[in-house]
Amino acid sequence: MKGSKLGEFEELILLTVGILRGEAYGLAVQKHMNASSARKVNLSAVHASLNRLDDKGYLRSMLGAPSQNRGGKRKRLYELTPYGVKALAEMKKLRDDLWSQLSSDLRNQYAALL
Amino acid sequence: MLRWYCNAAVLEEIEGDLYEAYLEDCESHGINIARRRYTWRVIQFIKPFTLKRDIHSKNFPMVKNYIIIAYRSLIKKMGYTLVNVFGLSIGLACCMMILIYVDHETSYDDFQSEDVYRVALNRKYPDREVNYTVMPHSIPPQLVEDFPYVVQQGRLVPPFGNTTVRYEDQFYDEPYFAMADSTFFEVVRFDFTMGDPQTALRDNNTVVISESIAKKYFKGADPMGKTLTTNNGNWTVTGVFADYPEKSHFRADLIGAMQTFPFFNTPTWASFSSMAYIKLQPGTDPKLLEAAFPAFVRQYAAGQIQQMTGQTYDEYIAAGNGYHYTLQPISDIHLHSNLEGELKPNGSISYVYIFISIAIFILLIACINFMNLSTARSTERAKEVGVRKVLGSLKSQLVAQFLTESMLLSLASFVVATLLVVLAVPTFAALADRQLTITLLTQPLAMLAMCTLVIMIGLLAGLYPAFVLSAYQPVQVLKGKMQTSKLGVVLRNGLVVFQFAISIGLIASTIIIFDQMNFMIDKELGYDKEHVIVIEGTNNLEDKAEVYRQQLLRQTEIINAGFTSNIPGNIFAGFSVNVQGSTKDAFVGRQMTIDEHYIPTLGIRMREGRQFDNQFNDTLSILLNHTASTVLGLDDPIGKKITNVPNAGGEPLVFTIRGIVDDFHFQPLHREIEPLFITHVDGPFPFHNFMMVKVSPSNVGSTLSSMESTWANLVPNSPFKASFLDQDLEAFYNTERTSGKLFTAFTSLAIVIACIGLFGLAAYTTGQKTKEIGVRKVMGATVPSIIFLLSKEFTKLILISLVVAVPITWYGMSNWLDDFAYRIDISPMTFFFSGLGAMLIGWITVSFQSFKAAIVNPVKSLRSE
Repeated sequence: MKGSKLGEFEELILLTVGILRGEAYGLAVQKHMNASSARKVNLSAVHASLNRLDDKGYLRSMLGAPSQNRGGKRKRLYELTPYGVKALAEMKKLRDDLWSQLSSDLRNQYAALL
Repeated sequence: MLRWYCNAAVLEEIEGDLYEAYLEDCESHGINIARRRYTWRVIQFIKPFTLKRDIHSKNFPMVKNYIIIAYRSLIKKMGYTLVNVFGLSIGLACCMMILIYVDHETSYDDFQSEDVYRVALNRKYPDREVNYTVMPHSIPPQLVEDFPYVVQQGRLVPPFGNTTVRYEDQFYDEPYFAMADSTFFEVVRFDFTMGDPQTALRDNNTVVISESIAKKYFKGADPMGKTLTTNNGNWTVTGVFADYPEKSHFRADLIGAMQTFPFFNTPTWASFSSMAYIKLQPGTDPKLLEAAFPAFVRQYAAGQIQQMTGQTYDEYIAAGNGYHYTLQPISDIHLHSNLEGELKPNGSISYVYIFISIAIFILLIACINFMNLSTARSTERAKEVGVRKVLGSLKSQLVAQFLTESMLLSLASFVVATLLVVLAVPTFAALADRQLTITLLTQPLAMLAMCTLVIMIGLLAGLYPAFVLSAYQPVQVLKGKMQTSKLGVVLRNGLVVFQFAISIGLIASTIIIFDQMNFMIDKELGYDKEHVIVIEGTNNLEDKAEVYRQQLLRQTEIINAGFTSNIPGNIFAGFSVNVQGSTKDAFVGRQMTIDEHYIPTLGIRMREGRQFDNQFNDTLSILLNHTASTVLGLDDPIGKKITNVPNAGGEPLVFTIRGIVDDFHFQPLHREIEPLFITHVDGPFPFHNFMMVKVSPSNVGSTLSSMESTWANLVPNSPFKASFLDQDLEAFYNTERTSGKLFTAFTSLAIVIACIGLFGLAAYTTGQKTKEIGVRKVMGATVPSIIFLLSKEFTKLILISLVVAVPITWYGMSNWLDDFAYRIDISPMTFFFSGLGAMLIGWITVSFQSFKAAIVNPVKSLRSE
């Protein structure tokens, strides 16, 4: 397993999987990401990332039921593992820490930008 | 496709997702887009995690081993490897350069908006037809009015010779000063850096200029609102546009408002004055407008034609006249259009095809080398294969082994080729007279194509040896039975024949191109082009023209001088005539204006009658060239009267024929000689834009400078511009010359590559015959007889290639020559010489090897067992 640091893209994927709660499979994740963030992501990139996160233990997956509109194919549904949740929480904490270290006027300035 | 590469573990979910996304796309974007996206997604899914694990995990050590073995065997036979890599990389480099050239040629005007067309005119006369870029200027605005799908039009009056532009007290000679409509910029794309393209040319006497002109004139000051002065009045600068891209059929540095000239506001339907660009509604089929043209012409032009010719429109058309308008997509103009009055010399689609085929030929030759050398070596490697098989190699592993080897070679060649291209592109660009860069090769699509090509070559070249060798029976091979394979020899010889057929064809084509070039340059033109200096812009002399002529003639080096309206290569105005008292129909030829000194200056011969003479009043005299008098069918032309209706309208003019001149080529040799009517400079067409000066061959340089100083004394304000007539004439054939040069370059490379292959092949065959030579020498054979023996086979092959090459080349080149009105015939000597050339080159290559083999001491070659 290569390093346990999460990339920005991976973090987004993890969050999206968390948001979708049991409905998270490749296409759904891609659609949600395209809808919610400004960036366009490829289906293949999403799949690659989900696969990798599964390998690393941030996600776990199971195959769902086959359905007609998928040509009789099953979906692979992903959900966060406790380890994944922990990693996300760490990322958030790290960011919050760094934010709090910004001086307050700068923080306001950036907040206005956001 | 997906199933083929995809790992079973993830296949199902991906397939499901793809299918679902596909269905959604189908609903929202239609089936075509959905299909395209589906395919694209499948390609995107080729990623490490989706690939079948077993392919690379199990075989990886084996692949590594293949590479190591391939590397070792290549290093062991260094000479063979070098010959291969050298040949193939030259071939690939040629290919890449031709690719760059072709891409450059085909990407002209690709920045223009779609649905923009130029209107081209095919004008039929009873005796001939001419394709014009210019047309009557009243047609385009009427098109916009009559046809709803013609969105906008823009007319352009192309530059006619140089315009002298004055700003404050500086004078500039501008060859690219055009005139255009105010709507021109809505049709043809211009990037304005200053001013508003919508309004820039709306008012009379406005002009827009290019950035480099702005820099040249105003040196950083704000050009807007400044005034430029030409012979045609003052022009206020109302806009600046970015210099026009090189990759366009279009070129203009200054563009004035065309409605400034009242002429362009008078209705004209039958004489040609401006180019027309039109923009159609998106998606309109241009055929629609083309089909509507005949009725349109009849509706508007009939009246004027009747007035000019005295015939009704139907009579006129029935006599074989016609105006056929067609639409040229603007991005096709560079390669597909070669009309009279193009703004720049255009490229030609046939040259693009020719170069593509050369690229393919060169690549083929290089690949054949590759295959030939591999098969030649196969006997040598048969033992290796035998041993491997005995030790338990699978056939598939052997195939993989050989393919790895050829792949490695082709990859190495690719790297070398890329280096070569980077080094050679500037030279190539100079040779091709185009601004070529390697940026194309950095584009992903081109890279993908090149990689595919490299892999294809590797596969192709490795295929034969891989499958033939791996099929050998180990027992027989190890016994030494597989010394010669019949099929291998036939294949090898066939390929050599093919290579040399291509080489001979290329040599012959090159010779024919140069013959034709020389033919055009040396052709008897009907006048004297040597030691003639052309001075442009002599209309600037105004009333001092005759004074200048007299002053020049005082110099002993200047033999004669005469004024004229046109020099060869200009557009010669159309001239429509009726013969009085003849039933012959109205008829259109070309017109030029000269003075009485022009004909003696150029040594044009009179056939009948007299030329212009200042003892007579020649204002309404006219001279005809021989073609014109033949077409008019006059038995005794001298003294006959002909009537002309001027193109710009007005009263008909009656001229008296005073003389007939011998035909002379007043246009490039691509065209037949057209009927020509010559009027006097004192007559109704008083244009004297050029002066032809015949000088003595000695001290031309000092003659030229004294001509310049005399000029400067008389008209200090206008620039002096002179050129040599023979050089001007040669410039017509620049396209042919450039292609000729490129052709030579690639031909030489093709021959070099073919020879490299032959060299390698000769090395191997002689290598195989070492023992035979040894025995022969012991039996008393001489060195020359052995060389002869070894060269005999190659000679035979080259002779066969000659037989193959001749008919194909003859056919192809005859087609090329048909583009010229005056062309050479292909002589059999051409083929004789190219065959001889190929033979010589082949002999030199082979005899080097055979000589080496023949002088070896037989003791050495026989002792080896």
